[in-house]
Amino acid sequence: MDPKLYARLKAEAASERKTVGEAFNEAVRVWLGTRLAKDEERERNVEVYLRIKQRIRQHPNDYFVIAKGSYLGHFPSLSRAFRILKENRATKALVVHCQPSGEWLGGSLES
Amino acid sequence: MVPLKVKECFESADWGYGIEASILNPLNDQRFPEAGKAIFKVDTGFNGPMMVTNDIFELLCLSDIEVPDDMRPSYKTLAGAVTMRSAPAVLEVDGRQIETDIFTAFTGPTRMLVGFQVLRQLNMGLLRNRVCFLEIARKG
Repeated sequence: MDPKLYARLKAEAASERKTVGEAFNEAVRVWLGTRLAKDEERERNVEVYLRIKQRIRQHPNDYFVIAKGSYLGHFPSLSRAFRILKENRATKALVVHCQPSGEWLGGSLES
Repeated sequence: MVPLKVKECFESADWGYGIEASILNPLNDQRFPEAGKAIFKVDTGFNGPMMVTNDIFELLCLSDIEVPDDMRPSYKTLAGAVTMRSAPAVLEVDGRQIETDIFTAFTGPTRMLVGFQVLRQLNMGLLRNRVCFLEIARKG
């Protein structure tokens, strides 16, 4: 463990009359809760994606942006797509555009 | 004929040609590597954009923005099709930022490489045992 982080954890735990173990368990619970919330958010985003899927194929060069369970629009460049995500303070999102399949022949597959 | 000047070169290794680059997830400003550049194999046989190993894909938190399962592209190989997880990101190479898709294999082999979709956007040449970035030489 990072010694500085551990020292801070120990100090914070002591200030609340908790052991380091109790503070650690609390931190892990919060972290796991955040991850669970993120998974739920992705599920909501995928539901929106399924609703607008047909439109994505009609605009093969655009990036379709979905975050926080809402469709935020489609944009001609990735930089604009990410700008709108940052404006919405999104931490998880779907940035979807048409991706053709292809070939991977020889080369690095062998090494 | 346009005169070209060599900007920067990288010696090839026994596994082939490689170039230095870094990847940025613009959503959280996570970069790989955090400082400097990493070496990516130049793979003209891969006609996709670029690929990283699963752990680098996770390190960059690209799973937070990866495309849904049914949009995952598939790549034909001599050993069968490889399905790719894919997320948009920015490749920093040759002093430029290139918006591209970053792949990692869903199952099967995965590598650190730059494919043809990215290579065709770069001015580069394979010169004997080196790969070099090129620029148009100014007169005088």
